[in-house]
Amino acid sequence: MTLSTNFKEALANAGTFTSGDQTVAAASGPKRLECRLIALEPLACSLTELVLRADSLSAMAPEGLANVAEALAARLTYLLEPISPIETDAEGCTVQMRSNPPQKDADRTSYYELLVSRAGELSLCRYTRAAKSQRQRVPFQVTREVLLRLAGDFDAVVD
Amino acid sequence: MRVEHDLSRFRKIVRGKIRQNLRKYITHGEMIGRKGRDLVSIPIPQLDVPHFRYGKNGSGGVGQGEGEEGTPVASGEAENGQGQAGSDPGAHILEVEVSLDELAAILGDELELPRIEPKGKDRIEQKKARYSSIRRTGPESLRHFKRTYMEAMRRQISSNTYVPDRPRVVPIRDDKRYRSWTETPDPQANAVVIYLMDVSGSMTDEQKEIVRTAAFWLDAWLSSQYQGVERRYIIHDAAAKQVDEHTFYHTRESGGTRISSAYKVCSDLIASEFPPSEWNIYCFQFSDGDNWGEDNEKSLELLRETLVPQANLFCYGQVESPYGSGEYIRSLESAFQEAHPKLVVAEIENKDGIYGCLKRFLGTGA
Repeated sequence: MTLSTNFKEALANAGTFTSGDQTVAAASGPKRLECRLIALEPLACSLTELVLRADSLSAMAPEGLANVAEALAARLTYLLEPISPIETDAEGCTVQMRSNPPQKDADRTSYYELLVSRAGELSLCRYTRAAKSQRQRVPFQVTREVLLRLAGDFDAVVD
Repeated sequence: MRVEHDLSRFRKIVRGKIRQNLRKYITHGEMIGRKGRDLVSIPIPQLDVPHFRYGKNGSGGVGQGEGEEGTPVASGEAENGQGQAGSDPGAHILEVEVSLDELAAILGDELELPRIEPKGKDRIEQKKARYSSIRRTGPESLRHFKRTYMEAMRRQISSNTYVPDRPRVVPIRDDKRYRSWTETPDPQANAVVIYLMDVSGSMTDEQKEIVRTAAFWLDAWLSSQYQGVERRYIIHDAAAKQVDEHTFYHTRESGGTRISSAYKVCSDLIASEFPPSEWNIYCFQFSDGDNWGEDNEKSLELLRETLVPQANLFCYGQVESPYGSGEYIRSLESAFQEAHPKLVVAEIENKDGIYGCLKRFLGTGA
C-alpha cells in the first residue's frame, strides 16, 4: 500500500463535517502525511496545512532539498497560483517556496507557502495579508481530487 | 550685471520647477552612480514664462455687434473631424543641468532636513565662509566704506586733487572696494555611514532598486553636507559580507534572509575600525523584513546590545515585498516599545515612499 492509497482511505473514513479541526493522517513506512482540515464535504474540503514527514528529507544536502523544491514546482501546476522556490536558507537547510506571483486583490495579498526542510518536512499552507496588518495563515479550499493529487505529488518527490 | 541678474532669476525658476517635481527625480534610478559635482540632466516639461498670444488676423477686434459685455472674444469652437499626424517637429522638452550636490541641496531644503549634530572631532570637514579679503567688484551690500574712501583719498592725493583745507573725498567707480569671503575647511567630527542591504531571494529587482535609490540619496545628501565622511557597505542574505560601493549597488543574490548575519558583520566592523568613543556612527538598514523566524531573536539581541548603543542613529527601512510578508519591523517596534531616540524605522511601500523615508531618516538630525 502506498502513502497515497492509505491517505485516500483515511480521507474516505473521515466522513464529512463542516466545522471543527480534524487531522487526517496516513503513513507508509518512514513517511507520514498529515492534513489538518476544518471542513470536509463530499466534493471538496478546507484545510489549513498539509505536511509530509519523511526520513529521506533529513538525509538530504541543501542541493537535494533544492532538487525536491524544483520537482514540486514542476508538479504543482494545478493550484490557484504556480509555486516556485524563493529563498534557500543554507544555514537552516530549508527551501522556501511561494506562489509566484502571489494573488493580489484590492485589499489583500494571498499566497501559498511551501517549506522543504531538512528537519524532514514538506509543509504547505496559505497566507493572506490585508493592508497595514500582519500576515495570517488562512484555510484554503481544494476538491478531494486535488487533495489526493497533492498527496501523490508530495509522496513522489521524496522517493 | 543684467545678464547675471537674469541668469540668477532663471536658475531660481529652474530650482522652483525641480522642487515641484522633486519626488519624481528622486525615484529616477538612473541617477545612481553619479557623484557630487557630476551634472545631472533634468527634463523640465515647461517653464511658464508669460508671453503674449496673438489671435488670428481679421477675426475681430474692437467693434460693435452681437454679444454682451463680458462675452469672450474667441475664434469659435473647434470643428469635429479627424486630423492627421503632423510632420513638423514637436516642441522639445527643456533639459537643464544641475550638479548632484545642488540637487541634494534642493532635497535638503524641500525636506527641511536639519544638519547632523556631530559628537566627535576633526575628521569631517565642513566649509566655513570668512569675510577676510577685499575685491574690486561685488554687491553694494558688501561695500567696504572705509577702504573705498581710503582708495578715493589716495587717488585724489596722487592726482593733486585733494585739498587739505577743504577735505572733500568723492569716490568714483574704480575706488569702490567690497568685502569678499574665502572658504576654509573647518574640521568637525569623525563620522562613518554604514549601509546594510538585504539582497536575499525574496527581494525582487524592484525592491532592490528602491533600496539602492534611497541609499543613493541618503549618501548624496550626507556627502553634500560634509566632506571626509567614511562609508561602508554590507550586503546579506543568509550570510553577510562587506562590499565596495559598486558591488553594493549591483549585486544580486538568492539565499535566505538572516538579518543577524549583517548585524554581526556591522558590529565587527565597528569594533575593528570605528570605536564608538571616537566616531559618529550612522547605520541605514534596508530589507523586506522577511527574516527567517528564528533569526529575529538573535537579530534583536545584537541590535539592542551592540548596534543601537554604539550608533548615533540606526535607521531601518522596510521595503514592502510582493507578499507583504515582512514582519521584522513589527518585531522591532515591539522590542523597542518606547520610541527610541536612536532608532528610526520607516516602511517603504513603493518608489513614492522613498521621499517619506528620506524625510523620516534624515529629519532627526541626530
